[in-house]
Amino acid sequence: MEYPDDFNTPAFPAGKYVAVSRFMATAVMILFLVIMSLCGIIIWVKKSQNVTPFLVSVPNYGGRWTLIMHNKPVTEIPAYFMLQESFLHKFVKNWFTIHEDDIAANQANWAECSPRTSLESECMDRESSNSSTCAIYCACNDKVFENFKQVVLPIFSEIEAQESGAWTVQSIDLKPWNSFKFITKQGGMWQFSVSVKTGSKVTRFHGYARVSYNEQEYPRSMGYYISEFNAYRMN
Amino acid sequence: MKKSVLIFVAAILLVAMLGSLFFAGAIYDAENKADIDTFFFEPGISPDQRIEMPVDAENIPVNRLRQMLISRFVNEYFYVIPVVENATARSNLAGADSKSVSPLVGLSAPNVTKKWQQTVAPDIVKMTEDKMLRFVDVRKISEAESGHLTVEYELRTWTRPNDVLAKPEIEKGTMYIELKDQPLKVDNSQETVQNLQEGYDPASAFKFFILSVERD
Repeated sequence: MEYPDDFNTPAFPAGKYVAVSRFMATAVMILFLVIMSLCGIIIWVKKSQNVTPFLVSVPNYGGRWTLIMHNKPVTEIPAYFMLQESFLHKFVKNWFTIHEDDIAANQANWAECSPRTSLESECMDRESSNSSTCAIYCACNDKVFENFKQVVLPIFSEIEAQESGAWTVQSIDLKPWNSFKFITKQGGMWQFSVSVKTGSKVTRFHGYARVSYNEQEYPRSMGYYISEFNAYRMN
Repeated sequence: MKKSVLIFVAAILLVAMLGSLFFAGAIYDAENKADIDTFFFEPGISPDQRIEMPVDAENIPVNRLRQMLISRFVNEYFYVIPVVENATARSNLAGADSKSVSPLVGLSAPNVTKKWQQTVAPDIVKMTEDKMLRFVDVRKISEAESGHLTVEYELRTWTRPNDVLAKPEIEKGTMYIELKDQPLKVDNSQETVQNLQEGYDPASAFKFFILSVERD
């Protein structure tokens, strides 16, 4: 015994080896258990995998392929999305409607009211949101209305004068131009397809419209207005 | 003896650590792994166009799938819509995220994209500014003796928006396409799943690559 100079001098010479082998036995057992449980977790995770199909829409006329659905469904639609959708739906309907026997209704729909910024303007009257007076003028900016007056109105006036010249909107299909995430509270780009009964035929139109937001100038439509509108005849 | 025991213990610990790393990695991979064999196709996005059952990509004949992808490519090459953001993003392919903007980058070789950028893209930008609309119809795809594909297409262009009487101008053209020789199937990699979730064009999920394009 050379204690206290030599600390390593064991009281029981074989004690250290016995302790090491016990420790090794315990460690190996724990490691084995850990590995086994990890294997179990792997099997569990693999087995519990969900099927996540990609659903792709391929339009008939070519164009963009769209991923309709994957494993992240849209769970809620924001209020501004619904507002813009309803607003645009109504605008498209007004744009493509020609009453046959009700010239006054047509004139009201196509009329240009006093400027939006003046307080007397019908466009400033929140209560008249369902009114058909200046329905198009009050829902778009000057550029769009100018285009309506110059390009569309002359044709519509001629159609109105003809017999059986009614245009009735049969269906409107609206969707965001690119994806839901590009529609914000400030507006966004939409695309639409419209079927209109024109006399005995059904005419289809396809178009793109940009909804913008200005609460001060467009109180009638809760701030939303059309800042771009381009429609094309498909047949 | 003491040292050899210590080395043995250290080796065991090292192996155990590497093993845990490997298993942790395996669990992470398994958790993230998604299978995209189930790749369905539908004719349209709106419910009234969705009256048929979706078709699994595995059950679409290879020729049909090739035709769909070529149509997609030719469409992407020519289509115009009156949305400025669309034209700007498509014509400016220099960005790092260009694949997500235009499937042209994912579907074709750099020389094809470059040529498109120099010849077709400026027209697309100009037409977009003028609020024109151009749709593309692929009429016929046939294989030439040289192995090239001959694609006959028709461009329908509406030059004036909102003219409710205007009909489109029709222009016909032919394109010669050289395809990379590889089996046409879904690319099942993790990268593809991630790309699709980030909004890449679904056509980029296929192993399909165009090497060169010539036009009449």
